[in-house]
Amino acid sequence: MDEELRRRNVRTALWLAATAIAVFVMFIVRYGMSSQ
Amino acid sequence: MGLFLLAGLAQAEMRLNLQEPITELGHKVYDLHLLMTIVCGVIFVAVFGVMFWSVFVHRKSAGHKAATFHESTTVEILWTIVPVFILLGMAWPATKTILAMRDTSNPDITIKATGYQWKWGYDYLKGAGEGISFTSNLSTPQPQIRNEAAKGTDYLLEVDNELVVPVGKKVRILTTANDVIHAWWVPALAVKQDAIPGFIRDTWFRAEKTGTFRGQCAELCGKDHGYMPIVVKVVTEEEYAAWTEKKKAEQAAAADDPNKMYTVEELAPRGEKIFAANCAACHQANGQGLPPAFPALDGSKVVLGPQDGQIDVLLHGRQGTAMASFKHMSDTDIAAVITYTRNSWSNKTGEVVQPSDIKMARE
Amino acid sequence: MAAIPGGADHSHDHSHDHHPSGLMRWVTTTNHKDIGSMYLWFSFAMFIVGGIMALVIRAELFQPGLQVVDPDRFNQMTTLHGLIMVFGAIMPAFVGFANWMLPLMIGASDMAFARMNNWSFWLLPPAAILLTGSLLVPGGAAASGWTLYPPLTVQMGIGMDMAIFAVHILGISSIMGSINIVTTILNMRAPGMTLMKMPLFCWTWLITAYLVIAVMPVLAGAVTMILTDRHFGTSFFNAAGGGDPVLYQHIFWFFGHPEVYIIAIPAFGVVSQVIPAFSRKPLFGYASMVYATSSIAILSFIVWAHHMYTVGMPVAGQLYFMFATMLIAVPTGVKVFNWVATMWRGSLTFETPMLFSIGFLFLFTLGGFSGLVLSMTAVDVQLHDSYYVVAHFHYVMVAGALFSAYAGAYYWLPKWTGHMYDEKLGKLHFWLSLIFFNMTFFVQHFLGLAGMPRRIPDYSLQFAEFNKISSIGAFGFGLSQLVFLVVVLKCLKGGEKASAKPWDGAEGLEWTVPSPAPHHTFEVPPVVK
Repeated sequence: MDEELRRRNVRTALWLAATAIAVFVMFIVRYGMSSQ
Repeated sequence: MGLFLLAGLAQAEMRLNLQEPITELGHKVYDLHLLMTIVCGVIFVAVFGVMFWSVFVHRKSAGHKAATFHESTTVEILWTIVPVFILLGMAWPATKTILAMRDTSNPDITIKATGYQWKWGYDYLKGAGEGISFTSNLSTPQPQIRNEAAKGTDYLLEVDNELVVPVGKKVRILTTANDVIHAWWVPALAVKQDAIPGFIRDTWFRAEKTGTFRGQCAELCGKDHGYMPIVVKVVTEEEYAAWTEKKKAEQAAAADDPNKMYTVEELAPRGEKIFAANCAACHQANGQGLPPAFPALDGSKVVLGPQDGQIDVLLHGRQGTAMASFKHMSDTDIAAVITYTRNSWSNKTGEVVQPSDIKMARE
Repeated sequence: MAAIPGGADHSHDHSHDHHPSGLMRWVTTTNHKDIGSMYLWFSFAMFIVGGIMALVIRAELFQPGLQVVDPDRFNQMTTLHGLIMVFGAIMPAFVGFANWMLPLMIGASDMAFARMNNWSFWLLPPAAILLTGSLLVPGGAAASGWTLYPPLTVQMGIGMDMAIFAVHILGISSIMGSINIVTTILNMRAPGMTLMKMPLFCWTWLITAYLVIAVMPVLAGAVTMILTDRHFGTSFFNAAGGGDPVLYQHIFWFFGHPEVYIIAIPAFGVVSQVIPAFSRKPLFGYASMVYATSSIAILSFIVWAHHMYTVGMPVAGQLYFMFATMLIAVPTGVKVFNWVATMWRGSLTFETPMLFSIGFLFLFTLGGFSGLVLSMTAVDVQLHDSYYVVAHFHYVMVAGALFSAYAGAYYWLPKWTGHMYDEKLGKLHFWLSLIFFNMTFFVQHFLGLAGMPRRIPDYSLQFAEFNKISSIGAFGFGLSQLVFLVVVLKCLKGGEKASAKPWDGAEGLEWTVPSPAPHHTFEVPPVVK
């Protein structure tokens, strides 16, 4: 796998991981903060 | 195998459709389901008729050569749009029925159904019969469940105290629960409503004919979820009036004097009955429990320790465990069952707890 | 390994001589074919474990009365059967297909993150041990149904914590796997293979992987909130503390509904490869299939509360969710029509993969119709939490997803092993499965209509006959799956040699490499016209 492809792969993966983490954090914050 | 099944059919019940409804909305639901099943059935037969035709006629072994087409905008648009219209046609009658099902206004009688692990409690809150209160437990004997005795016709669908309502009146049912989520379901009334602890939901029905109608809890609520049925007895207005009189008289007679002082010998036997009906399911009749979920009461620090501690557990339950609050029970009943536990098995405290102690603890 | 730009052939300069053999080969492999095989074996083992639990359930339900297990153990069986089948069997099976076939189909040498791929797999056995082991701890396994509703789940013993931990591990595995899949498909297709030229199976996995990334964290959030309610004094789902048990249901089903499409969409993909091959005709309406699948995935996010019609939500909510759910029937119908149109005027043969695909088409659609019936709120009031629901989801998940997985397995076994499987045994497996599956589950529709609730170990007498038939069918179905095991073992050991393309109607890059596929393929990407 050449270096350029490797970098592209890592960038794609970071975007996707960010989505997953964002969803999780959004839910925790939404329900953790609300008193209801 | 086929003969065995057919022979079974002759005498057995192999009902294919919903139960016979006895309410107007129940009929609408029955008809809606039938309509949908027929429409889906027709589409299914049409589509798979085409497929099986293809399977037969377009076989390679029959010499059929493959065509090459692989798209057709016209056809694709058609089979996208036409289903939308079919769905609209189904949605219209469904919408009207749903709106009617949710209209619980202006009831004649309002009854609260409370789900417990594992029985139902009924409180007649408004309308004829107001003030009547009782619990409704499965009455099928254990030997039948353990296959030691022949099963009765209403096996698992019979209770000690049935919910009695008058025919032709709008009955509003409020549902709630004491511990976990349950659900109140009577198929013949086309009613199902979740019973959620800490919240009140409602539903309604108007029975068109008299009779006895049976249902079950419809939300998994622990080990005896399958053993907490619902039995609704629909009677004429006259029979209902007579029943409410009788029930109210019974309740008054059974009502306890809140200030009476009891001895252990007077209270413990009553406590034993209450224990069997409410506590033994988890703590076992021998008080050994099923640790760790259900602690033993025989030799328990709480039972042998200060009375306040045990009263508190009964009144408020224990957060994060299966021990629910029993504050809905009367002062005398709670006092009786505590007295029983403190004087049974190897517990020999000799102590008695009085109804007035419970009353004070509630404040 | 030194990076050599330009993708020049460097197959002679590998450190393969240092590769471990024996057990360590499997523990450390980063090869997508090895990992795919491990996923497939793991999923089959879990299928057997979950299947045994199903047989315990059906043995208890053979007759009224309690004969086999006590009610609490029964609830543990239903819970673990669900969790194991969904997370341990069917999802890993399709991930196994993804691992084996995606690089081959797009002309890539391996997945984008080969080492993370290994971790994604090896997380699974510990999770499985946690889940099955929870049966042995005091209090037993979780007994709340796979949906884990509070407040019931807050009451349970340590088996519930083990289940929560297992769900977290399984979720992490799925998310890592999906990141891998999306990256691979987006970045590593062979030159000339545009997105609209790639096999539909690749499209279905691309879409599914996005769904996984979007909703698995939500499940993780939901079960974490149960964990904190259990042990750390929160009251998210406890009214006395200001919370609401129904909140859990919203969060769970926000995950749960896309989850069923996570299971179904790869199944659609497999069938979209097999049917054209055995019809000797291209897939009808490729572009529509892509759009329909995408629509199904997007719609799946906005229909979740059709699992909750009886919680007491406002009537406007019930109506909205009913309309939105009915809408999903439209793109699903498009797909069914397109598959039939693919067969229409083709040149059809009926080897085992095609039999399972036709079975899928017929029975998944039947399950879809019972789903449509359930979507009507007024009717759902009678059917919610009854055996009608059990019948519905087993039709779409077993006769749907499982049959599709079998279709894919038979289709690609020659590529994986280099041998043709025993066609007679394959057909036997199909017919036995078909007959016993329907015997088990068709009658359950009637049980639900007649008023039998689900998740009960014992029932009143009017349900006895259909339960007896269903239980007999279940044992038949279970035994029939052993035929598949025999087919696979026989095929691994030997059989007629398979050519690169044993199916004359098949298309795709995977059929351009030898059978069995060499350990490394497409080290140099092919050019696609």
